[in-house]
Amino acid sequence: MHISLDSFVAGPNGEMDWIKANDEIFDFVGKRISEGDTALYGRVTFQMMESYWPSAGAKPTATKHEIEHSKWYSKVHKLVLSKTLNNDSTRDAELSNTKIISDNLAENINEIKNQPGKDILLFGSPTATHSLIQLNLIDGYWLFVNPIILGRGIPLFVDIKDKIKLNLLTTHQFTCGVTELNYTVDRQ
Amino acid sequence: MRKIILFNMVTLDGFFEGLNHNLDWHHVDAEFNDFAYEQLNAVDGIIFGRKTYELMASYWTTSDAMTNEPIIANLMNAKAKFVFSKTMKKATWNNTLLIKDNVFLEVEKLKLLPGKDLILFGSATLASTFRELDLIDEYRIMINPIILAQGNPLFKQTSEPSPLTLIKTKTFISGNVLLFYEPNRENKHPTAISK
Repeated sequence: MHISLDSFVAGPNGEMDWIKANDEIFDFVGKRISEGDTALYGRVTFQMMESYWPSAGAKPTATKHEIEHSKWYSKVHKLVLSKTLNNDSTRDAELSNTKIISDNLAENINEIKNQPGKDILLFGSPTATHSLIQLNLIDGYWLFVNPIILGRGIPLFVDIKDKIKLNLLTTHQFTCGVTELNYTVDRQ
Repeated sequence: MRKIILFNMVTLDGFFEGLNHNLDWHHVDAEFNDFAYEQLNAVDGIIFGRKTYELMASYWTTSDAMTNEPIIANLMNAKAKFVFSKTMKKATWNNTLLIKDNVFLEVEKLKLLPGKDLILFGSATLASTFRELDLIDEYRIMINPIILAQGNPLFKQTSEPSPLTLIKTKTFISGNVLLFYEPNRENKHPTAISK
């Protein structure tokens, strides 16, 4: 997640114009996400992704990042948390590697976690993130701290019951002033 | 001109203290203590809001503090302290100047005096006022590897964001990450004097 120094993921109306994104960051992020085989989204972020990525790589003006991420997006298994979208057979064929989870969140996620496979990466999706954190289903936090104090907005952490200890794995400093903080959850 | 540095330990969810001023979650070790000593030595004044001042005064003057952290205790007790409070009657901790109002003017005066930099600890309410008045020259935020869930946020709600420039970072063995920032001042709107 891209966060402000005061731990917001977006402005009060979902503004993301303060998030720094450039080739240095895209290349860094691209390396790790190519190591995951599953992407997890809340409905709103998923719909944003669906409206852009499938065709982004085919535009004549497509950047290197857009070409690469577009390819990755079409291949990756997608999990979408949504009570309103559903898995019915009239869905577009493009969504065939997409599974909608509409209830029993903990049970469904744990079942998938217990299957063999690589890491599941959760992108954007603040509302889904809040639920997953509250249910203790997040195993690691891969955060990009932007050089700004927003003052208000949508927080990353909402309604958490107990403290969560973390282990810092790596950090990275980007020339644009963003700092990567890469943690796993300490379950001892 | 002297700089005002804001330093704070924070949790990943942005708290500088837990409920009831709890600081048990601080990741503190020899590496941190060396850093804290160097930092304190490099300034010759400490700024507080009332609550942090009272909490610190009640700790650093105890024999526990002098036994467990003698070097820092000596510095905390000896250094010039400035507490900003409209309601405090008298500041009783050694070497303190109590400033009751005109925050902006008084701070600008302090900055113009000769001396080393000044540092602001804790004091989230006062720090917010300072931030809104653009009085903070450097932010040093030490993110501890913990999500505390409940506590007192360091950065209070403001309607205006504060864009910053990252100067450097330092990662500690404990998992703490110290981020050094300066406020962006080039694009700041000049303070409206008349409309």
